[in-house]
Amino acid sequence: MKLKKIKEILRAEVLTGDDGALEVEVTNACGADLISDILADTKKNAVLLTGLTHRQIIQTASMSEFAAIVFVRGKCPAGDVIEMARENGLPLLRTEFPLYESCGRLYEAGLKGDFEDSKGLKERQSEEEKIAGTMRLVYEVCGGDFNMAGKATEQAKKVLKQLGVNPSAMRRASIVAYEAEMNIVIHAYKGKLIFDITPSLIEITAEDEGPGIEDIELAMQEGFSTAPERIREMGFGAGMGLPNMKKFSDEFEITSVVGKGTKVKMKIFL
Amino acid sequence: MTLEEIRRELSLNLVTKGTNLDRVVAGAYASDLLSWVMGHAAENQIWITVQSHPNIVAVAALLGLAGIIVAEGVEIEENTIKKADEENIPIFSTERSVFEICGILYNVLSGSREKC
Repeated sequence: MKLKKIKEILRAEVLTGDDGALEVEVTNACGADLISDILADTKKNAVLLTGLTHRQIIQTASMSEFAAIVFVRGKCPAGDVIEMARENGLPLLRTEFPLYESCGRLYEAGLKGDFEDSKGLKERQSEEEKIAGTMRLVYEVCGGDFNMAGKATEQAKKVLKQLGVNPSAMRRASIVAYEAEMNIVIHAYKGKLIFDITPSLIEITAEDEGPGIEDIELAMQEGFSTAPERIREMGFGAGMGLPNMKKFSDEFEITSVVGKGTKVKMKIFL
Repeated sequence: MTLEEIRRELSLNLVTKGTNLDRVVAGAYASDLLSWVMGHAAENQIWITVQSHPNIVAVAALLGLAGIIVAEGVEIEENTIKKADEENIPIFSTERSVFEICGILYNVLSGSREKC
Protein backbone atom coordinates (compact mmCIF):
# COMPACT_ATOMS: atom_id res chain seq x y z
CA MET A 1 0.00 0.00 0.00
CA LYS A 2 1.38 3.40 -0.95
CA LEU A 3 1.78 6.09 1.68
CA LYS A 4 -0.52 8.19 -0.51
CA LYS A 5 -3.27 5.64 0.03
CA ILE A 6 -2.69 5.67 3.81
CA LYS A 7 -3.09 9.41 3.72
CA GLU A 8 -6.46 9.02 1.99
CA ILE A 9 -7.73 6.29 4.30
CA LEU A 10 -6.85 8.25 7.41
CA ARG A 11 -7.86 11.59 5.88
CA ALA A 12 -4.46 12.70 7.01
CA GLU A 13 -2.63 15.94 6.58
CA VAL A 14 0.99 15.79 5.37
CA LEU A 15 3.31 17.68 7.73
CA THR A 16 6.46 16.92 5.77
CA GLY A 17 7.22 14.78 2.74
CA ASP A 18 6.83 15.61 -0.96
CA ASP A 19 4.81 13.80 -3.63
CA GLY A 20 7.73 11.46 -4.25
CA ALA A 21 7.77 10.45 -0.60
CA LEU A 22 4.07 9.60 -0.73
CA GLU A 23 4.78 7.02 -3.46
CA VAL A 24 6.71 4.88 -0.95
CA GLU A 25 5.34 1.37 -0.65
CA VAL A 26 4.35 0.41 2.90
CA THR A 27 3.71 -3.22 3.77
CA ASN A 28 3.30 -3.15 7.50
CA ALA A 29 2.45 -0.92 10.46
CA CYS A 30 3.18 -0.48 14.13
CA GLY A 31 0.88 1.31 16.58
CA ALA A 32 2.64 2.17 19.84
CA ASP A 33 3.22 4.91 22.38
CA LEU A 34 6.17 3.37 24.20
CA ILE A 35 9.60 4.18 22.82
CA SER A 36 11.02 0.84 23.86
CA ASP A 37 8.27 -1.04 21.99
CA ILE A 38 8.89 1.07 18.93
CA LEU A 39 12.62 0.42 19.12
CA ALA A 40 12.03 -3.29 19.49
CA ASP A 41 9.92 -3.32 16.35
CA THR A 42 11.80 -4.95 13.50
CA LYS A 43 9.20 -4.73 10.76
CA LYS A 44 10.37 -3.61 7.37
CA ASN A 45 8.70 -0.90 5.25
CA ALA A 46 6.37 -0.10 8.09
CA VAL A 47 4.51 3.04 9.04
CA LEU A 48 4.49 4.08 12.68
CA LEU A 49 1.20 5.20 14.23
CA THR A 50 1.73 7.04 17.49
CA GLY A 51 0.55 9.80 19.77
CA LEU A 52 4.09 10.76 20.81
CA THR A 53 5.24 14.01 19.26
CA HIS A 54 8.58 14.83 20.89
CA ARG A 55 11.98 14.94 19.15
CA GLN A 56 12.91 11.50 20.40
CA ILE A 57 10.20 9.91 18.30
CA ILE A 58 11.85 11.16 15.11
CA GLN A 59 15.19 9.68 16.13
CA THR A 60 13.58 6.45 17.23
CA ALA A 61 11.62 6.08 14.02
CA SER A 62 14.69 6.86 11.91
CA MET A 63 16.75 4.39 13.91
CA SER A 64 14.17 1.64 13.54
CA GLU A 65 13.90 2.51 9.84
CA PHE A 66 10.23 3.30 9.70
CA ALA A 67 8.98 4.53 6.32
CA ALA A 68 6.85 7.27 7.87
CA ILE A 69 5.11 8.42 11.05
CA VAL A 70 1.39 9.07 11.37
CA PHE A 71 0.45 11.13 14.44
CA VAL A 72 -2.96 10.03 15.68
CA ARG A 73 -5.68 11.71 17.78
CA GLY A 74 -5.05 15.00 15.97
CA LYS A 75 -1.68 15.42 17.69
CA CYS A 76 0.84 17.67 16.04
CA PRO A 77 4.57 17.95 16.80
CA ALA A 78 6.33 21.28 17.24
CA GLY A 79 7.99 23.02 14.31
CA ASP A 80 11.51 21.96 15.24
CA VAL A 81 10.42 18.32 15.40
CA ILE A 82 8.92 18.54 11.92
CA GLU A 83 12.12 20.22 10.74
CA MET A 84 14.18 17.38 12.20
CA ALA A 85 12.05 14.82 10.33
CA ARG A 86 12.48 16.79 7.13
CA GLU A 87 16.25 16.68 7.58
CA ASN A 88 16.06 12.92 8.15
CA GLY A 89 13.87 12.45 5.08
CA LEU A 90 11.12 10.97 7.24
CA PRO A 91 7.58 11.77 6.03
CA LEU A 92 5.14 12.88 8.76
CA LEU A 93 1.36 12.67 8.57
CA ARG A 94 -1.33 13.66 10.99
CA THR A 95 -4.83 12.25 11.41
CA GLU A 96 -7.76 13.08 13.65
CA PHE A 97 -8.56 9.37 14.10
CA PRO A 98 -7.50 7.77 17.38
CA LEU A 99 -4.91 4.98 17.37
CA TYR A 100 -7.45 2.15 17.49
CA GLU A 101 -9.44 3.42 14.56
CA SER A 102 -6.40 4.37 12.53
CA CYS A 103 -5.03 0.84 12.90
CA GLY A 104 -8.44 -0.68 12.18
CA ARG A 105 -8.99 1.34 9.04
CA LEU A 106 -5.58 0.44 7.63
CA TYR A 107 -6.03 -3.22 8.51
CA GLU A 108 -9.42 -3.27 6.88
CA ALA A 109 -7.98 -1.70 3.76
CA GLY A 110 -5.52 -4.58 3.43
CA LEU A 111 -2.46 -3.48 5.40
CA LYS A 112 -2.38 -6.63 7.46
CA GLY A 113 1.16 -7.09 8.73
CA ASP A 114 3.00 -10.39 8.79
CA PHE A 115 2.67 -11.50 12.41
CA GLU A 116 1.25 -14.94 11.56
CA ASP A 117 3.90 -15.55 8.88
CA SER A 118 6.80 -14.33 10.98
CA LYS A 119 5.73 -16.23 14.11
CA GLY A 120 6.97 -19.55 12.82
CA LEU A 121 10.24 -17.99 11.77
CA LYS A 122 10.71 -16.32 15.13
CA GLU A 123 10.10 -19.52 17.03
CA ARG A 124 12.89 -21.11 15.08
CA GLN A 125 15.33 -18.41 16.06
CA SER A 126 17.47 -19.21 19.05
CA GLU A 127 17.34 -17.11 22.19
CA GLU A 128 20.77 -15.79 21.28
CA GLU A 129 19.59 -14.43 17.96
CA LYS A 130 16.71 -12.65 19.60
CA ILE A 131 19.12 -10.98 21.97
CA ALA A 132 21.19 -9.97 18.98
CA GLY A 133 18.56 -7.27 18.45
CA THR A 134 21.01 -4.57 19.45
CA MET A 135 20.38 -0.94 19.08
CA ARG A 136 22.88 1.54 17.72
CA LEU A 137 22.88 5.27 18.28
CA VAL A 138 25.33 7.33 16.27
CA TYR A 139 26.01 10.99 16.93
CA GLU A 140 28.29 13.33 14.99
CA VAL A 141 30.41 15.51 17.24
CA CYS A 142 31.94 18.70 15.92
CA GLY A 143 35.36 19.80 17.20
CA GLY A 144 35.46 23.23 18.85
CA ASP A 145 31.68 23.61 19.10
CA PHE A 146 31.18 24.21 22.80
CA ASN A 147 27.56 25.26 22.33
CA MET A 148 26.56 21.81 21.16
CA ALA A 149 28.98 19.99 23.45
CA GLY A 150 27.27 17.37 25.58
CA LYS A 151 24.21 17.18 23.33
CA ALA A 152 24.99 13.70 22.02
CA THR A 153 25.38 12.28 25.50
CA GLU A 154 22.21 14.01 26.71
CA GLN A 155 20.22 12.50 23.85
CA ALA A 156 21.69 9.06 24.38
CA LYS A 157 20.90 9.26 28.09
CA LYS A 158 17.28 9.97 27.30
CA VAL A 159 17.13 6.85 25.12
CA LEU A 160 18.80 4.76 27.84
CA LYS A 161 16.27 6.05 30.32
CA GLN A 162 13.39 5.15 28.05
CA LEU A 163 14.86 1.69 27.59
CA GLY A 164 14.78 1.27 31.35
CA VAL A 165 18.54 0.84 31.82
CA ASN A 166 19.34 0.75 35.56
CA PRO A 167 20.28 4.14 37.05
CA SER A 168 23.83 3.21 38.06
CA ALA A 169 24.75 1.91 34.59
CA MET A 170 23.05 4.92 33.04
CA ARG A 171 25.06 7.26 35.23
CA ARG A 172 28.34 5.54 34.38
CA ALA A 173 27.47 5.51 30.66
CA SER A 174 26.65 9.22 30.85
CA ILE A 175 29.92 10.06 32.55
CA VAL A 176 32.18 8.15 30.16
CA ALA A 177 30.25 9.27 27.08
CA TYR A 178 30.32 12.91 28.19
CA GLU A 179 34.07 12.80 28.77
CA ALA A 180 34.60 11.17 25.39
CA GLU A 181 32.36 13.71 23.69
CA MET A 182 34.15 16.61 25.39
CA ASN A 183 37.52 15.22 24.33
CA ILE A 184 36.39 15.30 20.72
CA VAL A 185 35.09 18.86 21.12
CA ILE A 186 38.28 20.02 22.86
CA HIS A 187 40.95 18.19 20.90
CA ALA A 188 39.68 16.86 17.56
CA TYR A 189 38.37 18.33 14.30
CA LYS A 190 35.37 16.05 14.24
CA GLY A 191 34.27 12.68 15.45
CA LYS A 192 31.53 10.24 16.19
CA LEU A 193 30.03 8.98 19.40
CA ILE A 194 28.45 5.57 18.99
CA PHE A 195 26.31 3.68 21.50
CA ASP A 196 25.69 -0.02 20.95
CA ILE A 197 23.11 -1.22 23.40
CA THR A 198 22.34 -4.87 23.99
CA PRO A 199 20.48 -6.50 26.86
CA SER A 200 23.80 -7.32 28.53
CA LEU A 201 25.95 -4.26 27.91
CA ILE A 202 26.35 -0.75 26.62
CA GLU A 203 29.35 -0.24 24.38
CA ILE A 204 30.39 3.33 23.74
CA THR A 205 32.83 4.11 20.96
CA ALA A 206 34.29 7.55 20.42
CA GLU A 207 36.25 7.91 17.23
CA ASP A 208 37.75 11.13 16.02
CA GLU A 209 39.80 12.74 13.32
CA GLY A 210 42.33 14.83 15.13
CA PRO A 211 45.91 15.24 16.25
CA GLY A 212 46.01 11.87 18.04
CA ILE A 213 47.82 11.20 21.32
CA GLU A 214 51.60 10.90 21.38
CA ASP A 215 52.02 9.23 24.74
CA ILE A 216 48.89 7.39 25.83
CA GLU A 217 50.38 6.33 29.16
CA LEU A 218 51.03 9.96 30.02
CA ALA A 219 47.58 11.02 28.81
CA MET A 220 46.00 8.42 31.10
CA GLN A 221 47.56 10.01 34.19
CA GLU A 222 45.22 12.04 36.33
CA GLY A 223 45.96 15.73 35.98
CA PHE A 224 47.82 15.49 32.69
CA SER A 225 46.25 17.66 30.02
CA THR A 226 47.22 19.30 26.75
CA ALA A 227 44.11 21.49 26.62
CA PRO A 228 44.85 25.14 25.84
CA GLU A 229 44.39 27.87 28.44
CA ARG A 230 41.07 29.21 27.14
CA ILE A 231 39.55 25.76 27.49
CA ARG A 232 40.95 25.29 30.97
CA GLU A 233 39.31 28.55 31.96
CA MET A 234 35.98 26.91 31.19
CA GLY A 235 36.81 24.20 33.69
CA PHE A 236 37.73 21.60 31.09
CA GLY A 237 41.18 20.16 30.57
CA ALA A 238 41.61 19.10 34.18
CA GLY A 239 43.36 15.97 32.99
CA MET A 240 40.53 13.85 34.35
CA GLY A 241 38.78 12.95 31.11
CA LEU A 242 40.54 9.73 30.16
CA PRO A 243 40.99 8.62 33.79
CA ASN A 244 37.25 9.10 34.35
CA MET A 245 36.46 7.06 31.24
CA LYS A 246 38.62 4.24 32.52
CA LYS A 247 37.37 4.48 36.08
CA PHE A 248 33.67 4.39 35.25
CA SER A 249 33.72 1.74 32.49
CA ASP A 250 34.10 -2.01 32.95
CA GLU A 251 36.32 -2.37 29.91
CA PHE A 252 38.36 0.41 28.40
CA GLU A 253 40.45 0.40 25.27
CA ILE A 254 42.23 3.28 23.60
CA THR A 255 44.15 3.44 20.34
CA SER A 256 45.60 6.50 18.71
CA VAL A 257 47.61 7.42 15.66
CA VAL A 258 49.45 10.74 15.80
CA GLY A 259 48.25 13.03 13.03
CA LYS A 260 45.20 10.89 12.33
CA GLY A 261 42.99 10.44 15.33
CA THR A 262 41.97 8.58 18.44
CA LYS A 263 39.53 5.79 19.15
CA VAL A 264 38.20 4.93 22.58
CA LYS A 265 36.01 1.90 23.22
CA MET A 266 34.26 1.44 26.55
CA LYS A 267 31.95 -1.24 27.83
CA ILE A 268 29.50 -1.03 30.66
CA PHE A 269 27.93 -4.32 31.68
CA LEU A 270 24.28 -4.35 32.62
CA MET B 1 16.05 20.32 52.79
CA THR B 2 14.49 21.61 49.59
CA LEU B 3 15.98 23.97 47.04
CA GLU B 4 13.49 26.64 48.08
CA GLU B 5 14.61 26.41 51.73
CA ILE B 6 18.24 26.66 50.66
CA ARG B 7 17.43 29.65 48.48
CA ARG B 8 15.88 31.40 51.46
CA GLU B 9 18.59 30.46 54.01
CA LEU B 10 21.39 31.66 51.73
CA SER B 11 19.47 34.58 50.15
CA LEU B 12 20.24 33.24 46.69
CA ASN B 13 18.99 34.78 43.48
CA LEU B 14 17.06 32.36 41.31
CA VAL B 15 17.95 33.14 37.68
CA THR B 16 15.99 30.40 35.93
CA LYS B 17 12.28 31.01 35.51
CA GLY B 18 10.60 27.74 34.71
CA THR B 19 12.38 25.49 37.19
CA ASN B 20 10.81 24.05 40.27
CA LEU B 21 12.30 24.25 43.75
CA ASP B 22 10.50 21.41 45.53
CA ARG B 23 13.34 19.00 45.01
CA VAL B 24 15.09 17.75 48.13
CA VAL B 25 18.83 18.38 48.16
CA ALA B 26 21.01 15.49 49.29
CA GLY B 27 24.20 17.47 49.90
CA ALA B 28 26.52 19.72 47.99
CA TYR B 29 29.62 19.60 45.84
CA ALA B 30 32.02 22.41 45.01
CA SER B 31 34.49 22.43 42.13
CA ASP B 32 35.17 24.37 38.95
CA LEU B 33 36.70 21.49 37.04
CA LEU B 34 33.96 19.85 35.03
CA SER B 35 35.57 16.44 34.78
CA TRP B 36 36.21 16.47 38.49
CA VAL B 37 32.55 17.15 39.11
CA MET B 38 31.62 14.46 36.58
CA GLY B 39 33.71 11.96 38.47
CA HIS B 40 32.80 12.90 42.03
CA ALA B 41 29.47 14.69 42.43
CA ALA B 42 26.42 12.57 43.24
CA GLU B 43 22.78 12.67 42.30
CA ASN B 44 20.56 15.27 44.02
CA GLN B 45 23.50 17.34 45.23
CA ILE B 46 23.63 21.07 44.68
CA TRP B 47 26.76 22.23 42.82
CA ILE B 48 28.71 25.34 43.73
CA THR B 49 30.94 26.79 41.01
CA VAL B 50 32.15 29.95 39.31
CA GLN B 51 31.69 28.46 35.84
CA SER B 52 28.67 29.87 34.02
CA HIS B 53 28.79 28.58 30.43
CA PRO B 54 26.07 26.24 29.08
CA ASN B 55 28.15 23.13 29.63
CA ILE B 56 27.52 23.30 33.38
CA VAL B 57 23.88 22.51 32.64
CA ALA B 58 24.88 19.44 30.63
CA VAL B 59 27.01 18.20 33.53
CA ALA B 60 24.22 18.82 36.06
CA ALA B 61 21.60 17.16 33.86
CA LEU B 62 23.75 14.11 33.16
CA LEU B 63 24.52 13.59 36.85
CA GLY B 64 21.00 14.35 38.04
CA LEU B 65 22.18 17.23 40.23
CA ALA B 66 19.49 19.19 42.06
CA GLY B 67 20.74 22.62 41.06
CA ILE B 68 23.69 24.95 40.54
CA ILE B 69 24.87 27.90 42.62
CA VAL B 70 27.03 30.26 40.60
CA ALA B 71 29.01 32.16 43.22
CA GLU B 72 31.18 35.28 43.44
CA GLY B 73 28.76 37.41 41.41
CA VAL B 74 29.76 35.76 38.15
CA GLU B 75 27.42 36.80 35.37
CA ILE B 76 25.47 33.90 33.92
CA GLU B 77 25.27 33.54 30.16
CA GLU B 78 21.83 33.84 28.57
CA ASN B 79 22.31 30.48 26.81
CA THR B 80 23.04 28.79 30.10
CA ILE B 81 19.80 30.04 31.61
CA LYS B 82 17.81 29.00 28.56
CA LYS B 83 19.26 25.53 28.60
CA ALA B 84 18.73 25.20 32.35
CA ASP B 85 15.07 26.10 31.96
CA GLU B 86 14.72 23.41 29.31
CA GLU B 87 16.37 20.80 31.50
CA ASN B 88 14.66 21.94 34.71
CA ILE B 89 17.97 22.58 36.47
CA PRO B 90 17.57 25.60 38.77
CA ILE B 91 20.49 28.03 38.72
CA PHE B 92 21.07 30.47 41.56
CA SER B 93 23.45 33.38 41.61
CA THR B 94 25.05 35.01 44.60
CA GLU B 95 27.61 37.71 45.34
CA ARG B 96 29.05 35.56 48.12
CA SER B 97 32.29 33.65 47.59
CA VAL B 98 32.46 29.91 47.09
CA PHE B 99 34.10 29.66 50.51
CA GLU B 100 31.23 31.47 52.24
CA ILE B 101 28.52 29.54 50.40
CA CYS B 102 30.17 26.25 51.27
CA GLY B 103 30.53 27.25 54.90
CA ILE B 104 26.95 28.44 55.32
CA LEU B 105 25.51 25.55 53.33
CA TYR B 106 27.53 23.05 55.34
CA ASN B 107 26.01 24.36 58.57
CA VAL B 108 22.51 24.59 57.17
CA LEU B 109 22.56 21.11 55.65
CA SER B 110 24.17 19.35 58.60
CA GLY B 111 21.74 21.17 60.92
CA SER B 112 18.78 19.94 58.92
CA ARG B 113 20.14 16.42 59.04
CA GLU B 114 20.49 16.48 62.84
CA LYS B 115 16.85 17.52 63.11
CA CYS B 116 15.67 14.47 61.21
